[in-house]
Amino acid sequence: MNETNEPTRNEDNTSSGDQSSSLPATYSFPPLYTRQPNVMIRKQQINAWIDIILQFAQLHKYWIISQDGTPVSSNLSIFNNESIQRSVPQVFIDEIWSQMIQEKKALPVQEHHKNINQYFILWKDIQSWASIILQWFEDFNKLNQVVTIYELSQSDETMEYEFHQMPESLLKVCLKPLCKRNRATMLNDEHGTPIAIKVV
Amino acid sequence: MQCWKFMTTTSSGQPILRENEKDILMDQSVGLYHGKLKITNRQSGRIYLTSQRIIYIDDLSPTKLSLSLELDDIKKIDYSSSFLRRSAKMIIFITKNNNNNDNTAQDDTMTNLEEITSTTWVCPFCMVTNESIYKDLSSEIPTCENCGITPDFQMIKSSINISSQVFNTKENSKKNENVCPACTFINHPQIGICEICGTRLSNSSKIRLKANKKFKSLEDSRLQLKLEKHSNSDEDINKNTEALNVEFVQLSFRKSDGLLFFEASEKALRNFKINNIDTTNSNDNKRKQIFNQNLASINGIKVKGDNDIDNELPFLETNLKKIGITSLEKSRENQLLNNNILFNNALSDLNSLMNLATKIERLYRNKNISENNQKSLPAIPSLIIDRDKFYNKDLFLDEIAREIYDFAISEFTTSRNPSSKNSSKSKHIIITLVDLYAMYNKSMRIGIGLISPLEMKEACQRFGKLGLNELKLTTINKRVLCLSTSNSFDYLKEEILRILTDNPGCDLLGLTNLINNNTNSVNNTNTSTDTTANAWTMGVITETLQNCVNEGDLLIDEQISGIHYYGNIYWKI
Repeated sequence: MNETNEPTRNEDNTSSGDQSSSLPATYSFPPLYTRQPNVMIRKQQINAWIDIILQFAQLHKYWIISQDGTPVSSNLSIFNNESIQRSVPQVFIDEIWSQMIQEKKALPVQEHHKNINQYFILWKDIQSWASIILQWFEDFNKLNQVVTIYELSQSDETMEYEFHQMPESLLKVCLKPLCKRNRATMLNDEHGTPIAIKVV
Repeated sequence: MQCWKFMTTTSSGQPILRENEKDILMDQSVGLYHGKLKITNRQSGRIYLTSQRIIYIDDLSPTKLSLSLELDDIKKIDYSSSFLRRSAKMIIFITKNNNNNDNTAQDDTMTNLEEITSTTWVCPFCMVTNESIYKDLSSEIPTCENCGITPDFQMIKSSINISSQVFNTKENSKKNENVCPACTFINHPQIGICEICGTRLSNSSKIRLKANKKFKSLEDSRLQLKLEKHSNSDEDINKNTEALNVEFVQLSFRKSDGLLFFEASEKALRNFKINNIDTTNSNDNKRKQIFNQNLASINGIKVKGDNDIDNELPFLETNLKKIGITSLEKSRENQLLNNNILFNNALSDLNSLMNLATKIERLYRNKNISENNQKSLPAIPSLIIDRDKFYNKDLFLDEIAREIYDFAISEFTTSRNPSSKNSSKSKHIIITLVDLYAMYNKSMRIGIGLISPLEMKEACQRFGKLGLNELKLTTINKRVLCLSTSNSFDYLKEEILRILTDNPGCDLLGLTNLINNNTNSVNNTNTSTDTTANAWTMGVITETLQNCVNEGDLLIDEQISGIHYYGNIYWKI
């Protein structure tokens, strides 16, 4: 794993080079990094930040971004723009995250029912993810079959689909709407945690 | 013009003093006058007072233009204090060396011819052969030059040898030679102080005069004196030729008041004259000075002499006769005494400085009054609004309200043409009351009592009542009181936004510079005259920026280096 980590990090570095170029022009606008005093302006500023984070995550498929803005597989923070020497102060970062959670664009990652200062980035909302997954079940004729969550995330059959490599815990969240609509049933293991799903 | 001598200096511009010569005092920024006319190229230099001369060292080319004036040639000195623009002057009257004087001098030599004879006697104690100019030694026996003992006449009677004849034949030639009375060295006729031993040559001035008469062409070529001419008319040329023979010269003190210098030179001159008399009157006294200086009594018998003067004027004492530790002690003593004099004079200097200050104040007030009398003048009006002049506070406040109004208008629209006043663009004024308060008190109220901030505010509130409608008291951001013309705040805001769209990321300082230059250039195109550089003060700009940020027109970028401002281009409200 360590050996493979090195090249991926390098890839991240190279990709971060065009990170700012692939992001909207506001990303290199210095006032973005200072909390604006005017309330109306600040609302738009936070929205701009949310857009940037979503775009950033979607582009690089960063499912989880930690509180300080660094994706799990990278060490470059989105809140730190080296090219214009600006970074967002911590207080303002918190404000952005709370707004993002409120808008259901981010979801706190929970491990043993505790927040670990990491967030799932939902560039599509959970309903959309659910319908995409349902689409896959229909396309691949997996209806009435038991499919493990691991399969959904990692198997070659999901490669073409956007939810490929989605963390399993996030997948479970995304599958919940299907269960609610009685389109699917969860199969639990001996500890009561969901492990597979059967879509009717 | 003969009184001025060329002065040799070191390359660094310090005077080279003679033997026995001591410098007493120095002063800066002095100009020289001959008679009433300035001497060209000698208007800025240092002046040294020494025990023998007054030396002028030019600031520009000390090696070429320096002059000296013998104390010997000075009859008396006078002082005229500074008055307004005229600097303090020390007037030096020169002893006239004209023909009449010269004749008498020649007569003197004729009559003295027989008197001056050389008498020699041998001291019975140390066996040294002494010389004396007195013929009859029986009445007054001189003291031995070697051991300082005055012997009994009977003891030297046998050794007395009067050689007047020999001397007489020599007399004529000797009269024209500059013989040192102390060491008998025959000096150059132009020299007044012996080159060998530094003794003053008492009859040198007469000899010098004669020599000058003989060689009329003999003038120091290094001495290039030119007087400043007022005009070129013929009369003046005559006057100038007269001026050459004028009997006084002047030193003009440009920076100091010269009083100290005057006092010091007066003392030096007095001392010099006393020494002069001593040396010429009797060899006895002279010898006493040399060998038994400060001697109070010999064997209980009091010695006659005016040694008190020496104590009073310590700086002229020569150290020649003392060597080693005694001389060091003596010079130290002298130094202390000099310091004492200096300190005393410093106090008087301080006094004169205070006088000067009151004089300036008076001048300032007089000027103000005279300006007020001529109301037609467009210059900055400066009425003296003294609290005491008004019966009650209302009147006083009204008056200062007018003054503040005038002050603000003139201060921020100075040098704008009347034509530009018609154009609405250049007539925007905003000034915070705090700034105005400081400026007004500093420039208008000093000396006549400062006003309080409350009075300032009250006065500003009276503008409308007094019919002064151009400036109004307004509040920016609901907290800062400003005096402003109508619409000027919006104008300034527009201006700032315009500049920031051209130069995003400006900080306050850069913006202040830009906006002031910018309004200048705008006005320059209109009027081609300069406007005041700081028409917009930083305080006003800060408040306007704050307002813009609060309104959402501007975005801020806070850095350690300060706040940078950006136009709001992304997040329109």
